[in-house]
This record gives sequence, C-alpha cells and structure tokens, in this order.
Amino acid sequence: MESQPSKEDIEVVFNRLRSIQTNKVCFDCNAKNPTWASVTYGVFICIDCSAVHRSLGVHLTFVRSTQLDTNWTTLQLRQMQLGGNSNALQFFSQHNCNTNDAQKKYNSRAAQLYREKLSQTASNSLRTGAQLHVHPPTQEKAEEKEEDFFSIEDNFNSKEPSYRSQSNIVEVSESGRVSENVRLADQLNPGEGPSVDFLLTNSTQVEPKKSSIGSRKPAAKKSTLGSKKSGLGATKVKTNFAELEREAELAEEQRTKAAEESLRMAALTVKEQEERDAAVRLVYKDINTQQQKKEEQLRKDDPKKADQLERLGMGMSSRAGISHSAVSDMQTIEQKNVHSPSSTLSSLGKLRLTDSDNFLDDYTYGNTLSMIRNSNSYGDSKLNAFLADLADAKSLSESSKSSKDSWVIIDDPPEKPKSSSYEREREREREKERKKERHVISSPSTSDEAQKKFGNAKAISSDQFFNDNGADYETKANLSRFQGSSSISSAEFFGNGNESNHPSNNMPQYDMEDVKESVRQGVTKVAGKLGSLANGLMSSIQDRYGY
Amino acid sequence: MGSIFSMVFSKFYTSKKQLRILMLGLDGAGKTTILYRIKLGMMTRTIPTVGFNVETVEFANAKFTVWDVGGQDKLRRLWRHYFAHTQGVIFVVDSCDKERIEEAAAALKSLTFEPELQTAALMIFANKQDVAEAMSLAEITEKLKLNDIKERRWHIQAVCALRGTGMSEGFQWLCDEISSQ
Repeated sequence: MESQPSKEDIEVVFNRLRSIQTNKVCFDCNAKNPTWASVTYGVFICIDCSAVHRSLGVHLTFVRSTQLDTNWTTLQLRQMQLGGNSNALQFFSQHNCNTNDAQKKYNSRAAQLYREKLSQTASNSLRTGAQLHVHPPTQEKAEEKEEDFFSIEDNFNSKEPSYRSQSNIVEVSESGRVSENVRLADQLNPGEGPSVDFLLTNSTQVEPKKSSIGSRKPAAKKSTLGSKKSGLGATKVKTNFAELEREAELAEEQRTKAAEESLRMAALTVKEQEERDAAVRLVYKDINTQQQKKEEQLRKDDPKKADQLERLGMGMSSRAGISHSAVSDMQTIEQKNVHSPSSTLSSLGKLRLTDSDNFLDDYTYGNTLSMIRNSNSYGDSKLNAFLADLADAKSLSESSKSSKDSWVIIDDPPEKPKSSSYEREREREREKERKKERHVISSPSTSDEAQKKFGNAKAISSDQFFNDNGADYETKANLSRFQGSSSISSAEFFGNGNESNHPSNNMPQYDMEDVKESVRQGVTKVAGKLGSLANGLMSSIQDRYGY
Repeated sequence: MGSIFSMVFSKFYTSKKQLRILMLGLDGAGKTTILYRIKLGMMTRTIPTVGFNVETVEFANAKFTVWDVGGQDKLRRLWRHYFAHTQGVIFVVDSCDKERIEEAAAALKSLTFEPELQTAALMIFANKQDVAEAMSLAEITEKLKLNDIKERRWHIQAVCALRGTGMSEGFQWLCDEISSQ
C-alpha cells in the first residue's frame, strides 16, 4: 500500500506534534496529554474519547494510538501533521459546530467537510513532496506548518491545482525556505490586503490570497494564540476577496465580451439608427426602445442572460411590456464544469455568489470522488480504485456537461427554488455514482466466487465454501443455498468435495448431541435415585445395628 | 461411603466442558464489546484494551473461558503468549473497515501458521453487520482469503455486538466443533 515510515520516524513525528500546546489536551474533553488520535480529523484525543470515536465507526473517525500503533502510514502521519487540534477546533467553530455531543459533532456537515479537506490536502502534499519532514529544527517549524495549512486551506477553497502544488512544495521544504516562501508571496502580489486595483486585474489571479497569508506569517509565529488570531483574520480577508473576486470577475467578463462584440455592434449601428428614428415618432416609446436596444445588446453580449431574463418575465417589451430594468442588476452565473481542473477561481467566484450552503454543496459535488473513495474503496486493489476513478470521472463529466447545458444559476431570489432542485439533482447524481462505484468495486475482483455463492449469507463456513470447489458451474446453482442464512461453515462451504474428510454432518451431529444429553440426564436421575436409596439403606443399617 | 457416591454424582452434575477460547482481531474490531455482550448481555462502551480481558461464560452446556487481547499493533505481538491450550480462536473483523481488511487478512493468515493453534477451531466474527456500509459476509470471506484455508475447518458468522445477534450461533458452532474433535 503506502510507504511505511520507520518506527523512529513515527516516534519523532509524534513527539513533535504532541509538544504543540494545543495538542496537549484532548480535542473532545480537554483531558491532559492525550495519547490517542483520530486520524480522520488529525486530532489528539484521550483514551475515553477514543472509545466514543471507535463506537462511531471507521467511516466517521478512525482511531489509532500514538504509542501502541507502530504501523502508521506516511499519509496518516501527514494528516496528523496538517491537522492538529487547533486547526480542527477552528474549522468546527467556523462552521458553527460547537456541540459536544460526539454523535452530532462527527456526523455534521462541518466534520464531513473537514475530513475530506484534510485527506485531500494530505494526499496532495504527499504527491508533491513525498518526503516526511520529521526533522524540523524548532517548535517554530510546527507553527509554520500550521500556517502553511491555512494557506493550503485557502488554496483548497480556490481549487487552483497548480497553485496548491506550489504551496505544498513550499510546505514540505526545509525551514530555510520560509523566507523564500514569504518572498514568493510578496513577489506574487506586492499589495497587502484587499485593494481596489484588484478589481481591474485579471479575475483568474489568485495570488492576493497568498499575500495575506504570507504577510501575516511572521506575526503568527509569535505564539499559538497569535497564530489562531491570524488564522481567523485570514479567513475574514478570504471572504472579502471572494466578494472582490466575484465583482472583478463579472466586470472582466462583461468587459471582454463587450470588446468582442463591439465590431459586430458597429456594423449594426446604422440599422439601429433607423430603428431609433422610427421609434422617435412616439416619444413615450423612446425609453422602451432604448431598453429594447439594451436588451438586444445584452442578447448579443450574453444570450443566456437574455434568455433568462425573458424566461423570468423580466424582459421589457416582449412579454408584458413592463419596463423593469433588471438588466443592470442581473448577474448570470453559469455552472461550469465543476470538476475539471481548469475550473479555477472564475468558477469559484460564481459559485460563491450563491449562498454558503450552495457553496458547500458545490464543494462536495466536486469532491464526491474523493469522498466516495474514502468511504468505499479504501483497501481495494489499485486497479479497482482506478476503475472507480474512471467511472467517477466519466459520470462526473457527463453530469457536469448536462448541468452546463441546462442550468444557469442566477443570484436572484426567484431562482432559489431552482438551485435547490439543482441540488436535488446533484444528490441523485451522487447517489448514482455511489451505486456505480459499488458496482465497480465488486465486479473486477479476481475471484468473486464467494460473493456469487453466498449473496446475503450471514455466516459462511469452510465446508460450505469448498462444497463445490472445482465445479465452478455448480456455484451458481448453489447460490440459493445460503441466501438469507446467517452463517456459513467450512463444511457447508466446501461441501461434498471435502465431505469425506469431515464426515460430521450437522444434522446427525445435533441428533447425537441430543441423544447424549438425554441419556446423560437419564443416567444422572437414576444415579441420584440410587444414591439416595443407598444413603437411606446405609443410615437404616446404622440405625438398626447401632454402629 | 456416601462421599464416594456424591463424588461420582458430582461428576455428572458438573459435566460442563471447559473451553478455552481466544478472541483476536485488529484494534477497534469489537472484541471487548462482544466479550461483555455475551458476559453481561448488554451493550457496554469499552475503551481500547491495553492488555487483555478474560471472562468465563456458560453457554450451551459448556464453560467458555474467553480471553480478549488488545489488537493494537504493538499488542498483536503479545498474542502468541495466549496461544497455549487454546481450543478455539475467535477472529473478530470490523465489517466496515474496508481499508484495513487486508491487514486483518494478514493477521489471520499468520494465525493459521501458528503451531500452537493447529488444533484450535477457527471462528470468524464479522462484526458491525448492522452498519449500512458493512461488507457482506461473502465479500469478507473473499477479502480474508478464507478459501485458502483448506487444512482446517472454519466458520464465519455475521454478528452485531450492539444488538447481540449472531453470537449464540457462533458459540454453538465452536462448542460443537470442539466437542466433535
């Protein structure tokens, strides 16, 4: 499977991680010096809370001991490094998940998001920089790691793969490169914080985000508290940027489209002039015409928008004649191929337009693949995972294509129900994918003989299993034998072929057991009676002869 | 004289077989929960076993002494110290842990090579069958490569320690299997 770090490496990693102040208390109950960990969330927990976690199931939280488990994988260690109690705590509180009830807490949306995010960032960081940084020089390094995590987090939200990998390279590099990291950030964007210039820059730029984190980094190193604060600050700025980016993005879109159309528009001006002259005859219609013109222009600019407008009854003249100038306020959001790596900030900006729930959904949708992989195909052969990926990618691209064709989300109240129905559709799609995934997982297994044979069996034994071993044609015929049974024993499983070796058939054996038992009981009863008789006899003899 | 009789009779009365059962499996599979489910008949919230638990359970005319040993990686190396005189091995698998089913298969395979366990009956409990994500029994049979184990008899039983289903059947099989040997 994954590369296996040595015991010493694991020890070093955990000594370092557990020396971080925030990791010195249990994530759930604040007990001191926890030695257990939930790999799924990268948090340290005490043994009592580990019991709670383990009862939730491995699909929600996977518990390992930092002391008793010595076979941690590199990926799991990386998850612990990138995670940590403070990051998880911050994420949970940001997403308004402050409950102490473990069942609610780890079944929540925030938990789901966090575990997906963590596993994805961890695997990404492994892909880009495979070495395990087990020898960071000081505690500062740990702090820096946390900071890096935030930059990744931002990154992750922006869905900009190239940028992410870049930052990961920085992350896995030695601390000597920290200054370079900051330098890089400065280089990418000299400005600090949000600026109006940003509106005019190309919308696909993501660098400003980096700058906010880069510039904050030195301050964050001072203390854990500081780092926390800076993390919060960074998030605030992040949302700000999302806003700015959205605006910039829309402006840019409008501008470029207008530029493209200007030539064609020039050709049309004469015609328009004529139209206008005709319209001037009726003065009160002038405004209407202008709007019509506007609409026409809009139609050329952005046919989809115009279509929307018309469909929503916001058009000026064609429908009800209401001159409602919704054009200027209206923003067209197009659901682009969410999954494709090329859908970078521009699509993100659009997604951000919708409310946060939508955003989360979009996020989930984009990452269904990883989520499903988490839940279903871990431990499967790589081939299976690959096939599943293929199927996923296919279905995703299909679904996104269809969504691109049919859905245009508009940031207007009337569109709300539509977006929810879109969500529903996505839900269905996800469901479909899951089904597909399951199918894919099960189908290519090399010897699915048992699966075919024992369908819904509740127990299988070796005899059953090998019953028709060697006679594969019979397996299907014997399928129904174990349908609904709750156990399969080896004798049943292997069946007649090995029957001679194990002559004990179940039915006769039970009978024998019964007979034995009844005989035993009978004998016991008789013996008891005999015993009391003998005792009586003895005592009577004793009485009579006075011994 | 009477004491002789009573000795003879007491032999009949306490005729219950003493069976030494060893319960093994990966960490978090549910060994301790199963143990206390059959001992107390109720669901207990257990903390990870560091060391071992041992309980005697009377069931189906037999007295089971069930040893439950912690399944963490470091503790797995201590399993061999419990092998001597073991008549039955219960290997507990978490049916939902798809990621570590191979690890479980490897642990189970190494058990089958243990010389001290050659005569022991092999029972596999596929635990947590109540969870929706759980693998089917056939799938687990496949993944644990039980079809490679031909030199000994085994039995895989779907159980749910939370609800207590499947365990009496499992212990019945162990009882029959050991007494038939």
